[in-house]
Amino acid sequence: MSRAEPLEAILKVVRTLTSSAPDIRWYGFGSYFRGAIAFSDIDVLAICPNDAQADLARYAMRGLCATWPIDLLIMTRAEADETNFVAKEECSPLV
Amino acid sequence: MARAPEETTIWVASVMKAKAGVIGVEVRTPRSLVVSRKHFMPFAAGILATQIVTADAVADVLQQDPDVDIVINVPGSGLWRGDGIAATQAHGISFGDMGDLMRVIGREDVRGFVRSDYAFIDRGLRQHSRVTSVDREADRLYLIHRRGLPEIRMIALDPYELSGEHLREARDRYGGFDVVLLNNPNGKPTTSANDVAAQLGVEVHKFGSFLGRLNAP
Repeated sequence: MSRAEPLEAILKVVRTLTSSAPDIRWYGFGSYFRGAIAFSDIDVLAICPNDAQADLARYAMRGLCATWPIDLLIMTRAEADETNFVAKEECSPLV
Repeated sequence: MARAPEETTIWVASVMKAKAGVIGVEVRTPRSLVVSRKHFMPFAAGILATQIVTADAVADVLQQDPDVDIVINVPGSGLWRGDGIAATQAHGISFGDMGDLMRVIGREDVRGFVRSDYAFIDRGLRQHSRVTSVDREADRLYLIHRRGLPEIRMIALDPYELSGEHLREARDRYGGFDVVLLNNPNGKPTTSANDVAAQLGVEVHKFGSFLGRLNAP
């Protein structure tokens, strides 16, 4: 129950948003998505093409972030490339 | 959809049970649980799931369970307001988030727990000759009063990669601030974060340059 409940909620939001905003790329990273039994937060990354899409991603996730210990990181594509974040943190695509 | 307080407490208990060093977890009230540990005495934690933790929220937890040793707020987007922090201090207990709940498993003194990054900031400010007093306005927000200089409002953020969105979100959640303390020794702002900082009219400092900044107007 402890692991599945927030993940199901996250995937539901991400899938819904992806149908209307397909350019946002969603990833999970950190201990929760590496399968650790115990975790202190749930790291989610949204890579957005522009500020408007970033606002959309944050708005879509606001209910989940207000419920679960979700650490939502939003980056522009340029920031993701600059930091090589996806490879460095071994992020896994959510959809 | 909002969850009932007990749902969050039960969920936290289920996560805690899997943690190394934990023997068992018992939900004691809808807003508190007791963690039995391998190496130390059990402790009680108050559990909140709210956007802004105020003194009233802490009082609600303590009314249900006066014997909690720490109060934690679960949501990732939640924050502790200064009066909420002060309420825990007035009762001689600690505060934090899910990560802090995990951290205190390995600490004998749960009531005296202070996050290491907060303790580091507290010490730096306390020892600074220019600082006369500090108002803790929120968990990450400090209003610093300085000798002979205007007060300065600082927000402490600790990501490894400080993005532009980190700054925008901090402005939305915490309101205005003058200085961002990037309180991660290995952290660095992205190019976009520097651009956003300029747009917002705020400065980004690491700890050393922040201490120096306190001496400037």
